[in-house]
Formats: sequence, structure tokens, C-alpha cells
Amino acid sequence: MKIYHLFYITSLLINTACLEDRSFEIPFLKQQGLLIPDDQIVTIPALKMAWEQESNQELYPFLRLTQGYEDKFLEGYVISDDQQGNYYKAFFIQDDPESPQAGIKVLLDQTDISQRYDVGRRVLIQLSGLTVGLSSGVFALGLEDGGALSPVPTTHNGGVVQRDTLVSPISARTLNMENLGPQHTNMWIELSHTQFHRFQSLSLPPMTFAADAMDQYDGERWLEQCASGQYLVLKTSTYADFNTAVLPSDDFTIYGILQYDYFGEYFVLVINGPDDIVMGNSGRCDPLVLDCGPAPGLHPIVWGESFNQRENLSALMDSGWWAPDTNSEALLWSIGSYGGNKYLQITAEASDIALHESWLISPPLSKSVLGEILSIECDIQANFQRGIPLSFWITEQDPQDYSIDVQWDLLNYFIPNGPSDGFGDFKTMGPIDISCKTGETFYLGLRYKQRSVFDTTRYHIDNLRIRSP
Amino acid sequence: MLVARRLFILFVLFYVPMTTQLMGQSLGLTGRVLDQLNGAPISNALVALVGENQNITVTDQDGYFKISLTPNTAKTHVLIVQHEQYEAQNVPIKTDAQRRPIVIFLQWNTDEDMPISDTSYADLTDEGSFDLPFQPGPLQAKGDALTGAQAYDFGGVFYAPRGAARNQKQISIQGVPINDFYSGQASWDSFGGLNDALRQREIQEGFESANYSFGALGGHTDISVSAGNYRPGLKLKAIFSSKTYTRGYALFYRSGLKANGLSYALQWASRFGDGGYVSGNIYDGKSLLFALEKQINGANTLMLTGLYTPIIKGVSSPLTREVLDYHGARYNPNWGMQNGQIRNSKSRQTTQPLFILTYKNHSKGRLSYQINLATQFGLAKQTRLNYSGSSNPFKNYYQKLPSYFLKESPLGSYDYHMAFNARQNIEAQGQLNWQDLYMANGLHLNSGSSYIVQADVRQKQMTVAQALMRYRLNTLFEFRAKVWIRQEREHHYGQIDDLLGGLYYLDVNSFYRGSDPLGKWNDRQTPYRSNKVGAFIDYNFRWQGDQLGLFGQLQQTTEKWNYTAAFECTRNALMRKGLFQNGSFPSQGQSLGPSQRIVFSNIKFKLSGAINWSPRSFSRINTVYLTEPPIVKHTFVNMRQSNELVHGLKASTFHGVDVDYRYQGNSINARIAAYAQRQDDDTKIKTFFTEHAIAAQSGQALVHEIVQGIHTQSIGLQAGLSYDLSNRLALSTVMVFSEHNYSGTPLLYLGSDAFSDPQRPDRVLGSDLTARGKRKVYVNNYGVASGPRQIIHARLQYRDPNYWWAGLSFNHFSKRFADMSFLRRSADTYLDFDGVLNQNFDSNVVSSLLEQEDLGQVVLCHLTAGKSWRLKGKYMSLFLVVNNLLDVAYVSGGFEDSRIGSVFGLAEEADRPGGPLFGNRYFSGMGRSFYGSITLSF
Repeated sequence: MKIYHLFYITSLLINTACLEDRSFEIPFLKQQGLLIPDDQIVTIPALKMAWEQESNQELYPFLRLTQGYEDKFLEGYVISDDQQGNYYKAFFIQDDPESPQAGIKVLLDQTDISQRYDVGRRVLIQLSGLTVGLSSGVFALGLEDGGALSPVPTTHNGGVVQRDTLVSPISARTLNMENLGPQHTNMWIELSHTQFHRFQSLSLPPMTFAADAMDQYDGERWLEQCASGQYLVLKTSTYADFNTAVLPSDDFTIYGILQYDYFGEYFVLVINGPDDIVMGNSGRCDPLVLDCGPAPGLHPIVWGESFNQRENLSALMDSGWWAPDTNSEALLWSIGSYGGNKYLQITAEASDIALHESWLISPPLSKSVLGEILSIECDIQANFQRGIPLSFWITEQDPQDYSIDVQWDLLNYFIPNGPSDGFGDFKTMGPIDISCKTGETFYLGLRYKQRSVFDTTRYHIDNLRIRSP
Repeated sequence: MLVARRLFILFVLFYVPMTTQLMGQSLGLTGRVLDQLNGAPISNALVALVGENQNITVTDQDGYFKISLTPNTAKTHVLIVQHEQYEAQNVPIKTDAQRRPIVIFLQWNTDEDMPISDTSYADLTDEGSFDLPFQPGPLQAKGDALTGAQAYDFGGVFYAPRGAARNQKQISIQGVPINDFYSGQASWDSFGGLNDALRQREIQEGFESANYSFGALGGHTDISVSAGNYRPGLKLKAIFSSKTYTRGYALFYRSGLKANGLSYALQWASRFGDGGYVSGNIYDGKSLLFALEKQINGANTLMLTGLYTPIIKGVSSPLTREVLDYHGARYNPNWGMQNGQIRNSKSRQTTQPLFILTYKNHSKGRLSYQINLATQFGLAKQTRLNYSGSSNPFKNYYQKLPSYFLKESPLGSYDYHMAFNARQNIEAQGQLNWQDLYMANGLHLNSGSSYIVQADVRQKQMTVAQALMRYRLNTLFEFRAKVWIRQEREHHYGQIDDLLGGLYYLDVNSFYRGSDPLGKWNDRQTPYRSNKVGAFIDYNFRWQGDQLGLFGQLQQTTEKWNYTAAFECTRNALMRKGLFQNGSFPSQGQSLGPSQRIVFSNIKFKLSGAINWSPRSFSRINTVYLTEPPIVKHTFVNMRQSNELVHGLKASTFHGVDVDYRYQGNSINARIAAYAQRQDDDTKIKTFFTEHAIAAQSGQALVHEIVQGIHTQSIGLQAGLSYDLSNRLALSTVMVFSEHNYSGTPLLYLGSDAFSDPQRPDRVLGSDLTARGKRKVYVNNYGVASGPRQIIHARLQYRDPNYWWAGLSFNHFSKRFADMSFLRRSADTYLDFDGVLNQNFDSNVVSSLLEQEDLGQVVLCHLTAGKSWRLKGKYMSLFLVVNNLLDVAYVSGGFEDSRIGSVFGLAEEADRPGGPLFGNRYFSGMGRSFYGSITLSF
């Protein structure tokens, strides 16, 4: 009896000690390819053509996909990835993984889209009841919402985006900045020998992708391509995981999707994550600057122009400043004022006509009067920044002498950056050493040259001063 | 009396001076035990002589017993006759006179064989944003109408006697308290399922006189596990229920007292199910108890008790009105199907074996004592889905509900379309889709899992050594004392339970927005560590608490009156030691390493008196003053991440007085009680995500809301009456009227890792104390959420001579309030997100926005029934209880969501066309549900 008891108790103990093992095996994910007959598939180029033809592009560029689209699917390959937070409730597909003709932006009411629709996956999107049109300037698919497109719920029509088992690697289309056009939007492109503008990646401290003080919703940074001298805006969301990463200082090859900015005005490139920037080894291609040595200390000011005495630009001209009229009808320079302070202002309105280039040249400055060791300094405020069209030059030749080809040297400076949709703050630029210019007289030249029609940064320049010990 | 509830052996002690000595020979007492209904003999009933000696025997097959009375002791003994099928009887025996055999008739027991912990509501998650409700149950019942109704009928509405909080109910086993320091609560899961073995209960209501316990607002129950006091036999039970578990089995074997003084008992039980009333709450609990007892030379007993009740159960969450309207009270958003099995992302597991060694000396002299050594160790673990940095996959997430798309006027067709779609989604599927999570992890194997199942683990270790002593000065005076040392050590950590198809997990705080490159790591010491299953993540710390305590009590008893004066003083020392260095708290000693040591010394006093008006009626009065340190959980601002202590920590104080009057007649049993009390300087910490943390950059942060100086006042009147209409029919009625409100202005401040000092952006503070100071909270006269304030209860019970009985109770509950948000009623509520006072408020509008929600009246009817059969000395009985017979839909409790922390937010919510986004969240009450058992006793 006792042994029986012992056995019984032991078995109870063992039974109690073991709670049912609740480990779960990984569920078996059934993968089935999508079997949609070809006559139900619409390609992106075909849809785009239908949209261009059947909608009123000027007044109301939207096409509602109802009749004839009840059983149609749009075919595409995913090229965007929102895992790093650079995309929100939208993803991009292009019609072919290797040689795409067109791409489309799909607005989907889901966060973490890449958890289901990863890069390279072939997807088929049910078109019935959706609308195609423009979203921030690019061809897009969504639900109509009062004259704009809004995200489609994922369960629309029982599952609006369907995954295929096919995942193809996406080949990037190599392009150059100078021949970018609207036909290249919504596609995965590659730009080689690219760098960030030196004022953004070589400044101290260098800028981040989207975590600087002036970045409100997006950070816009300037990519330059050495070969063309053109530039392209890189747009990163302030909600992206990598927004605090610092801009790389060397040259690289960059992959991304060409789009328009939020208001649909100028091109931007959007990357999926920092892995889309592949460092190169060609080195930077920054313009040559007049390098007279390290920045000098703060010597006393021997010459200055505060613009406070100038009523307007004509008054400035009367005091010796000169503006050669290069190719624009109206001079872009003016005297602005705010809070009792006057400053020199330069801006360009966007126009489809031509790219502005405008110079403003100082009166002759004499070394015998000012001193041998000279450095230049001024205060600059960058506003509504789109690109960096302003540059500072120096020459010893007479700019008004048309008989010679005047040689201008670019000064070694860093122009501060400002917000793209508002006013910045005045920041000091310099002092910049110009002592190695050996001539007796020299002239300062301010050049405002647009690299694209949307390059319309407005600069306020104040307190131009020259120091000498 | 009728309206029977199971009573534990009430140790009534008669104090006798050692002046008289009876004859040296042992006297024998013989007798017979019979069933009162039909006169049948009761075999195997336990007959025990209570007094200084433990003389126990068992009736034979024909109901006869013989027990020896040891000489030279008392003038009167008390004989206790026990059998679970019958009500225990205490029979006073005059030693010198009683030599004739006695016949004892036992009344058949209409016992409610309910499990110890009330299963009137589904198990809830302990997320720290709300207080778990008071746990009523059979450990409350003392045999009168009031306590009986409190135990069995008031559970589903979160009733708390005298407004007590869950940590104000104390439980002890063999005299060893099992409430822990961390939460102040007894872990009910550590002794669940042992209903039969834990029937010997001494229940102290509030602060009334008891043996070694000062008492607590919610009462104190001491459970004895004395193997020798169980009637020998074997009991088998099968359970079926629709509440939390669906099936169960239990086995209870008792050896009874053997000739060599040895006795042992063993209970084994198992309860399981795939979801009871609430879907998805899987339940798997096993229970094992063993008790070993050896009587040593008549006066001393050595007892060894061991309990082990491993349990794992799924847990549900409180829901908003919108979700409840779509899905009803059975809905649980936390589970989903995986491979054909229910998998609940939130589950609670407890494995905490308890061992108690007791040495009792019950000498016939003046002094008797007891020594206990106890240890408990194991873990309490709660799992949850960790989706930080990814989107919330639960189908009741506010951004997936129709109200989200209807949140702002004007509404266009797109908004209605999206809302309609959302409504279809939530109606069609409300459960978690595990496949989606595996897919999300599987498509990005190189970047670590976005979704994991994380366990929040509390590894506990407790040891207690205590000594109790009782010294009888004379017949009138008795002095008791208790001294103890208690040590608790816990190791808290987050742990990866399942990678959900991924290869590793990066332990990153995805809400970190600062500029420190190491700031986002939860352990700066090992950034970029790839964590696998079992790794420690999120937080990792230990704490240890040591308590020294002394209790003293003086009792004077006469025939007409008695009083008790008692005090208790404790000294608690507490320290935390961080094992992770949290990225937001990099400074020396902030997160990693030992914290400051905090010591509290507290004292309690009580004076109780009783007057016996007549042999049938008496009154009692208890007055109490006590101070208590805050529980460990409320001592640190952000215990998981930093060592920072709550600023200005204070012990809470309690003043209370209660009086009652009882009358016990032949067929009437009446009781009326009144109480008044106040609690001051209480400290509470709640953890939640809010949009109104002004010191945080965007106002949004996960905060720990520290409220100090909370004052509450309550008064109440409770009355219970039971009346035997006939010898078969009994009626009882109970009424409760009470008020339990906040008073004064407590102070509030917030702790979070999201606060930084704008003056010193390089420094991260753990709280907004220096940035904003302590703000006043305006809560005067708001109600404390402690269940219904007004109750009317009536019960009718019928006993049939054919050994079946039935009872029907009617309960009307009213004046129940939702737990309110302190943040909303603090000075912060009038500030805009940038900290500037916004003057555009109308005080009438503000009052209506800040009105506390009354959860409404509810009427619940319960049916209980039982039947027993007697088959040749063996008994079989059936017990059934059906709660909420009329299947009334109601909410048990609710609370305000502090995510909206300002009146402007509230006004915005009130204006939303689709209803509020963050409305109050509720705990649904159970609809009609039953619990039943079939028992076979040998």
C-alpha cells in the first residue's frame, strides 16, 4: 500500500510540474502564385495613356476607374520600402523589374507596407472603384477625396493589393541629372558620381538627412552630379529612422525614386534607406576656390557696407556698385528692409522662360587704402531655400572692361542653409582670407545663377565688411 | 443557523487558572453522531477536543466515537464534530459532570462549494494603467448574511468591502502572510485550485479582534493546513464551468490522525479550458498541496506544508464602448488562431511553490508559542506582443475603428467610405492575425524581428521567519505577541519569448528622439547585441526588501464585555539595483547599479471593544490608526528604467472606526454595522501613454503618473438580516449604503524617459519635477472607483428533506463610478500643448466634461442548488451555481483613458461626429455563466 502511495504521489508531482508545453510552431505560409488571366491585366503604361487621354488634364486630371475596369488588375513590381519610415501610406510600383517604362504611386491605408509587399514583389491591384490622377505631381492611384487622392483601405474589394510569389531583383535605370524629365518619375533610378553640396556635407557640423533645426516635415538636401553641374533635391521625411544620420562627405552612387516635392513643383529623389547610397571612390568635384590659407582671426574692420544708407538699388549703384545686365529683363537685386535694418536682397521668381543669372559687382577696393592682409565677412540670411544659386567671387581685373575676358576667382566660404518654406536667420559668413590676391585693386562679385527654374532661393546679404590688422 | 457557509474551526478558548486538578486518570467520553434529518448514523466524522490538547478521533461505521479527556485541565472542554457534508458543531462538555454518552445531531450542510478566487470576471492584464479590482470570494464569508452575500453575490461588480483596495486584503497560510511587498497583494494564482485543502479558515473582518493579526481594511483570512484536523478519507471531484476554465478535476486524500501522531494530506487538482465566458482565455492550472503533521508528546506539533500551483492563463483587456458595441462582452482582441490552435498574445503564468514549516507548542501552561519558517520562490510572468517601431496589429487599435475616419467635420464621402470599410473589417474579424506577423518578420530576416512576444518576468524569492507567543496572565487577561523577519528579493526583466519567425531582435527604444547615439538602446552597455529567445531585453533590475516586525496585543475578557488593544510596528528597508544601463539615463547611478536605500518605520494601533448585551446580542466597536509605507511599485518613479525615487515619499495614514450590533435569535439573525474612515497621504503611480505630457517635446510620451497626498473619506452603513420562514425556507436580506470619495488636493507629477531639460539639452531627466513642479489635482468629492456604493440584496433558500436545496438571490447595485484620470483634473488640463494657459474655457462646459461616469444600475440574479446522496457511508454531492441568471449585459468597472489629458482634448473628443477616439474603457461583466461540481467522498 505504501509503495502504491509513493508511486501515485510521484506521478501526481510529475504531472503537476509539467504544464502543457505551449510552444508554437511557425505557421506554414501557403504560397500560391496569382493566376489572373492576361486579358484582365492592365499595365502601367496603358493605364497612364488612358488617363492622359480620357481625363481633362488642365481642369481636373483624375480618371475614375469604373466602367470597363470591374475585373481589371494593375500589374507592377514594388520598388519602394517604408520600413525605414521614409514613406507613409504609399508605395511605388513600376511595370517591369529590369526595363521599366512607367511607374505609379499607390496610396494605401496601411503603415509598414513593406511587411507584406517587399521590394521586387510582383503585385496585382484591383482597379475597380479606384481613381488615378496626380498626387504631389506624380501619377498616382488612390480613392478620390474632394479633388485629391487619398489612401485606399486594404480590404477594399476584399483585398485591393494582391501579392504574387514572384520576387524579382529590380535593376536601376542609370540617368544623368541634366536629362531628367517627367517621364522618369515613379521609377527606380541610379545616379552615379553624385555628391552632396559642399555647404551641406562639408560644413561643421555637417547637416543630417532630416534632423536639422529648419526641417519641419521633410529635409531637402542638394545632390550634385559632377559631370553636369546640375543638382537634384534629395527629400527625406523627418519621421524616417535615418533622419539623424549625417550626410556623407564623399562622392557616391545613389538609388531612389524620382518624384516631385510636396507641392508638385520641382523634382526630388527619395531613397528607401541609407543603403541606397553606395560610396564611390572618384572623389568630390568641388569648384576651385581661392585658398589663401586658414580663416584669419578677427581683425578690425576697415571697410563696410551695411546698406542702411541706401534707399534703393539705384542709390547703391550711384555709390559705385554695378550690375551688368546679363540676360534678364528685370534686375533681381533690391534693397530690402525689416525692423529698421536694410540689407541687400536677391531672389528669382520661377519662370519657364530661362534661367536667370545676375551679377552685382562692388566698387573698386584698393589695397593701399585698406591694407595688405585682408579678409572678407558678411551676414547672410537664406530664405525659401531651393538650391544654392548665390556665389561670391573676386577679381583684380576691371569687370567693365569688355575687351578682356575677366577672370573671377571663387572665394572659399560656406553659405549657411535656411528653411525651404520660410525665413531663416542671419548668420555670419567668413572671415575669408583674400590676402593672396596680389594686385592693387580688386572687385567683389556676387553672382546669382539659377541651375533650374525652381532654384529660387532668396538671400538677404548685410554688413559686408573687410577686415585688416 | 441557516444560510450556512462553511466555517473553520473557531478556536474558542476558555482560560482556566491552574488551580484545580482533576483526577489523575484519563477520562473517556463516548458518544454517537447522527444525521438530524433522518437519524442515520454518520461514520468517519471527525471528533476533536479543543482546548490545550489536540485530541482527535473519528466515528466508526455506526457513528460511535470514544475520546479521552486529559485530566487536570479545564472545567469545560469544547467538542467539535466535523464532516463536510454537515455543518460543524461545537459542543461544550463539562469535564467533571459528563460521563454519559452524548448524542450529537448534525445538520446537513448546504455548502457553496465555490472556488477560492472569485471567477466572476475574466482575468485581466496588469498593465499598470488601472488598479485590479478587489478580489472577493469564499475567503470573506463568516456565516452571516452580510459576509455571505459579500463573498458570493457581489463579485461581478467589483465590490470592495469598505472601499478596500486589492492590496488591503491580507491572506496568510499557517499564520505566514503571503501578500508581497511589490504590489501589496496576495498572489491568488499561487494557491488556486486547492479549495478543499484550504477549508480551515479563520476570517477576520476588517480590524476586529483576532489572534495574531492586526487586521486590514479588506479583512484578513488565515488558512490553516493542519493534516490532523482533516477528516480522514478520499474525495474526488469533477468540475465543469463556463466562466474561466471549463473543466477541472480534484483529488483530496487525508490520512487522518494516526496512532503515532502522524498525519498527512495531499490534494491534487487540475483546471483547464480553451476559453470560458471570454473567448481566447486559455487556462491550464495544476495544483498540488501536501501537508505533513507529527504530534510530538501531546503538546507539540510539527507541520510541513507545501503548495505548488503552476498555472498559465490567457488574459483579456478592457475595451471602449465602440468596440463593445460591435463585439460584446465575450470579445478578447489579444488572441488569434495559429495552426488551428488558439494563441493568446497576453498570458499570465505563475509558478511559485510555497513551503512552510511550523512548530506549535500548545502547552497547558500559561505560555504557548508557534514558530514558522517559510519560503516561496518562483516566477510570475506576463507575456505581451512587442511591436515597437511597427504598426499596432490588434484589430481594436483606434486607427482601425470607424470612429477614426469620422473624427473631424466636415465629413466627405471618402470618410464615410473608409468608416464603412472599417466597420466591415471589425465586424468580420476581430482577432489577431499571427500569420501576418510571421510574414512581416520573415520578409526582413536581416533586419531583426519587428514583432516578438515579450515576457515581463518577476522572479520572486521570499523567506520569512516568525515567532508567535501567547501568554495567559489569568482568566481575564491574555497577551499575545508576534515577531518576524521577512526578506523579499525579486529580479524583474523583460525576456524574449518567441521571435515569431525572425532570427534575432534588436533591443531598441523606438520612441527615442534625442541626439545621443547610444540613447536608443535599452542597455547602453551592449548596443547592437542580437538577442535570441530567452535573452533579457527592455529592462533588467533587482530589488530587495527587508522587513522587521513586532506585534503585540492585550485582551481582557469578561462575561459582559471584552476589549483588545493591539499595536504593530514594522521597519522596511528597500533598495533597487539596475542591471541594464538604459539609454535615456546614462549618468552614473541613474539606471545601472544600486539605488539609494530607503527605510520606512511604521506603527499601527487599534482598540476594539465588545459588549454582550445579552446572551443573544452583542455590539462591537473598533478604532484604528495606522501608517503604512507605499508599496514597492509606488516607491520608484520609473522602476524599470531608473533608480529615481518618488520625491517626498510619505507613508499613508489611516483612521477608522466601525461599530456593529448583532442579534442571534432562534430564527432571526440580524446585524447592522456602520463605519467611518479616512485615508491620507496615499501614493499611486499609474503608467500610460498620454498626449498631454507638456514637458515632452511633442506632448506625447509614455509616462508614469505619480500622485501623492491622496486623501479619501468614507462612511457606510451595512445591514444584514436572515430569517427562517420555516424549517425549510429561509430568507435573508442585505443592504449597503456608503460613500467613498476623494477629498483635498493631491499633487501630481510625471516621470518618463521622454523628458529633457530645455535649459540643458545634454541632460535627460527622468521626470518633469524640476521643469514643472508638482501640480495640484482637483478631485474633491469625486468618487473612488471601489464598486457599487448602494446594494440591495435578497436571498431565498429552500432545503428539502430529500437532501436537495436551492437558493435564488436578487441583487441591485447602484452608484458605481468609473475610475477617473488624475491628469485630466490636474492644473495641466488648462494648458495648451506648449505649456501656455488657455483662457478660452467656460466653467460649465468644463464641469460637464470632467464629470465622472456613473456606470449605471444593474440587477443580477444568481441561482445556486445542490443535492447529496448517501450510499453506504460514501457521499456523492452535486453543486451548481448559475450567475447572472437573466443574462443581463453590464460592465463591472471602467476607467478614463488618460491619453486625453486636457479639457481641450476632451472638448474635441466630445465634438467628434463618430464618437470619441479614446473613450472610457470598460471591463465587461459576465453574462449568464455557471459553475458546477460533482463530488464523491469516501
